[in-house]
Amino acid sequence: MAGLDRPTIGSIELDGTDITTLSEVEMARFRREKIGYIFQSFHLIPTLTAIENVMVPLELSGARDTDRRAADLLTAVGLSDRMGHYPVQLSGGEQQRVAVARAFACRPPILLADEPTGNLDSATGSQIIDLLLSLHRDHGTTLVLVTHDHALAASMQRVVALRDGRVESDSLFASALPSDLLVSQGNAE
Amino acid sequence: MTLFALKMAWRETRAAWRHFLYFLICIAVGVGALTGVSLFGTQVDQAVTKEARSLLGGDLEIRLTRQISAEGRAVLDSLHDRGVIATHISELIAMAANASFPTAGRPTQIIELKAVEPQYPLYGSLRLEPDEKLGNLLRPQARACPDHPCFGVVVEESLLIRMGLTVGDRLKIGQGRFVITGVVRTEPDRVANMFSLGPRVFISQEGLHEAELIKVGSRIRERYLLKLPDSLSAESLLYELRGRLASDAARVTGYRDAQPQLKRSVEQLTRYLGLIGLTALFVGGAGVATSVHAFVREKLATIAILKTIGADSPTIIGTYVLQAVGLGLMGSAVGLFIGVLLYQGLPWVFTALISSALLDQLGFSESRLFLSPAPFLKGLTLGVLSSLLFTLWPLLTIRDVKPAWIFRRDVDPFRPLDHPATVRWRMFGKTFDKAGLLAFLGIGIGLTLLSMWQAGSWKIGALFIFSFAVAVLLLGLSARLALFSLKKWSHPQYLPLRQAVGNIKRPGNQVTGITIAVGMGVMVMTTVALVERALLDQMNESRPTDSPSFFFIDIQPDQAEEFAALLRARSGDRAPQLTPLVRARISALKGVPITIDAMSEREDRQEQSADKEEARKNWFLSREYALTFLQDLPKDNTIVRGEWWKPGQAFATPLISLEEDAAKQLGLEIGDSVEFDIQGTPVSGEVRSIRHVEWGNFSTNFYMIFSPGALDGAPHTYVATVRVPPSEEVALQQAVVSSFPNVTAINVGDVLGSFAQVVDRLSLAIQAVALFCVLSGSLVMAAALAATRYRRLYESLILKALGATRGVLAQTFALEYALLGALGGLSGILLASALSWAALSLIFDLGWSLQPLILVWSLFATMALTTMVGFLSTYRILGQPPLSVLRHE
Repeated sequence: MAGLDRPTIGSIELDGTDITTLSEVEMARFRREKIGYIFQSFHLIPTLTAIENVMVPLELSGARDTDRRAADLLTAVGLSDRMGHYPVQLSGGEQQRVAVARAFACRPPILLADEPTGNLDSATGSQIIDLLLSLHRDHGTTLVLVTHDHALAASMQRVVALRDGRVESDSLFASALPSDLLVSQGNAE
Repeated sequence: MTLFALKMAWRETRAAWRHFLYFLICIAVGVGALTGVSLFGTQVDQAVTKEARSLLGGDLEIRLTRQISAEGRAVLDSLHDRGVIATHISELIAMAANASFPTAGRPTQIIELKAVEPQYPLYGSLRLEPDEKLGNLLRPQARACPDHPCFGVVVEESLLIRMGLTVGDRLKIGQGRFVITGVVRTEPDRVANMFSLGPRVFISQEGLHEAELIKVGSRIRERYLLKLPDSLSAESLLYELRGRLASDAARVTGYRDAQPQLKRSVEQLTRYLGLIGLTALFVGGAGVATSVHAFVREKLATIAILKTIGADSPTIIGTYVLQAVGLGLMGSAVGLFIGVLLYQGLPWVFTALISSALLDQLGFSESRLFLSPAPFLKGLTLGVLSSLLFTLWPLLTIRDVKPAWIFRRDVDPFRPLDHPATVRWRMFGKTFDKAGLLAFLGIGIGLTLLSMWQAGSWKIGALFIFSFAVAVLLLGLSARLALFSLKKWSHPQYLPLRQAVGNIKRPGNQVTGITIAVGMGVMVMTTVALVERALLDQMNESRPTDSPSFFFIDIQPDQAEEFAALLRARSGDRAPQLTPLVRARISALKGVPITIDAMSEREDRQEQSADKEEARKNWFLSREYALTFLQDLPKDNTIVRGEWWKPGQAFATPLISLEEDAAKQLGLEIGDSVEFDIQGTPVSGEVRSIRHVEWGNFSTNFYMIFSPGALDGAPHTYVATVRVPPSEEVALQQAVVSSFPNVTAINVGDVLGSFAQVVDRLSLAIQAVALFCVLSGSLVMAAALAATRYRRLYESLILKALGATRGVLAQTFALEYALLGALGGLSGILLASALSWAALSLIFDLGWSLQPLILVWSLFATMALTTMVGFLSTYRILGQPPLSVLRHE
């Protein structure tokens, strides 16, 4: 559903669009406009500074005033003093905050977070989750979050559990989950 | 999107410029070679155009091969009334003797004599030491020669060196006595020529008269240089004089046609040197492609991330294409500096080909500050376009990088066939990627167009790119063959050798690229060396053991007997052969007259003609022939059609035996008539036979031979050849000059020596540019090794961790690089052998022979070079402690 790969069979409909029928260029545009990604390993571009990393999706979508908007986003995630730093000069938490700012730069309706706290200590992890939830709360963004963290999953509004590639349960209440498998989704619409 | 691509290209370059060092150097080297050659060619061309009047010596030049007739003289005199200034110059080959010695045993030297009038030069300037007017230096020198009258003479410094003379010493030329009053440094109108028989000597026309060198039939070039008033059009006077001086067989040329030989030689030389430069650029292109390929591999994560956040493949490819163009521009800019350095060095190489004085005249010595912008623009454009073409292919793989690769890094990121962006075409029962196919065609067409542009001819450009492609294909095939053989080879016992062979044949090896790049440089260098050796060998081997030591020219009929007696006495040859020689031009073929006007135009056309056949035809029509009349067929001549005249045969009309190429070019067959103009007298004959002549036999050979008696009464001289032991050469030359001052002795050994020098310098010029190909090849190898640096490092450290010493690793590397060198070198010398065979048999019409010494030397030099380049690229690995890398695993 991230639009990063193609299914061998079946189709995927996202926000009313069957994304399996899109060409590569259409797919790229769809990702640009509809989805923001946050990864466990941050996946910032190492050759760009923090602000440049945030500017990239804005520039791709042809936005104006990209440096000011990127700076505002970084300020919003608490990195106003780290804008000119390269990823290697940032801590894990800071890198993930840059990734969040980048994912949200074009205000996509969907945010996909793949183990966003997996590489972070618990305190930093909590800060990131708070940040994601505040984006969901303040901007109405759908947050799809993949995690192995039961506690985190339990704080979500809808939880889909997967085992060996199959959906095992789909519940609006986290308490109904099997204890070892979790996929959480915030904001059931 | 373009703005984004521009910004990203800048950000990526800023962060990763070290990755592109080889990219930059490869382009810089190629552009450097091209720009250097191009600057030299343009400079000569522009200087010749700018200095055209001084190079010709006037607005118009009238050239004759005999003294002007009274009518002709009257025509020239009549020009005076129209405000035309004329000056007379006579040029001839003569002998000079050191007059300080007693008559017998005087050192002698062949010279290029130039007799001038006080007005000379009309344009340009002579540089003389002392800095006085030439006219003053050439005047009679009463004080220097109190016993008998003598004239001043100004000589080239090389004469002083060769004869051990200084200014103030005395010379005897012909019957005249001269005192050296100065040295000439530059001479504006000296005809650029690869060969010079001897140093230049200036005398006055009065001095020439005193020397009594000009006899009937003497080999002389009479020139009249004209300076026109502004009111008179050079063009119209040129045609007027061509008509009015037709009976004198005079050639009239305008200053725009000055130095056609020089222009043509430099144009051809720079064209071929330019193509060698282009080879260097294209070989460097392989380095560019290797660098970009390695860069894309390193950038997989960035590419996948960019795709994830919404960049499509065309945008990302566009980004890296812009980056390549930018880098190409930077590399080309560096190349321009290299080009200027090469340009500074090239004239030195050329000094043996065209006189150094002429290079001074063209402004190559002191004031070479003005550089034409055209070669720079061309260098930049070629560099940028080549960068673009060579990066396009590796950049296309970006299409195959899937965004999901960031989750699954262990799989091969390049799996093009299942990619939805790949539009496939079915042709010939096979599936082709549309964009890939279009890009391939585009790259091919692009490189062809670049070659045509550089060559300045679509034909030569197409031939070049075709040959280049064939060479790449053959080198690639030989690499594949070698790899195949290595894979069949059972594992060697010796660990470093086993590791070296393993490194070469492993999956993802760069052997094909390295073999092509290194092999190409070796091929060009070795071909030049092989052709040079074959030319020099041909010169020495084809000189028969009985070949003459001397050619004597301008022997007057009344001197013939006495001259033969001298040769008999000096050489021991009982019947030295003196061959009569008559100078003539063709005036009619098969009854159709060839007018001098038509001939001048033909000569113009010959100079401009790109078509070799056409130029050769015109040359045969308009040249001056040395005719002879002989009873017997000369040695090494064989009749191919018709028959030679019989002994004692009576001739109703003069008969002619024609050389076969001349017959072909003039369109003559047995029975056709040819009419000659012999110093104003028409003599016609009928073609009786057509001969094949061995031109390389070092004898006097002729295009046209008349039957005995046919040229009786025609003004003629004799030429003689003689063979003496080397120890006798000087004595014979001195004896001839002493007894026959008007006879010129041409030493065959000296002529061959200067030819060898020309071949040597020409070969040096080509090899200087070819060196850039070798440099490019080395860079490509270095780039390929740099691309596998991490893998090499990792393996070395594992080996170290297992107990391998630095020595074992060094041996492994040395063996691997030497093997790569052997492969590239072997393929290169094999191709060079084939190419030199083609060049020798198709261009020089010579046989090919194996030159084991050159081939072995080339092979070992290549192995040494690749070993050195390999070590320079990877020696740092040897010193790395194992933990530095393994800790990160």
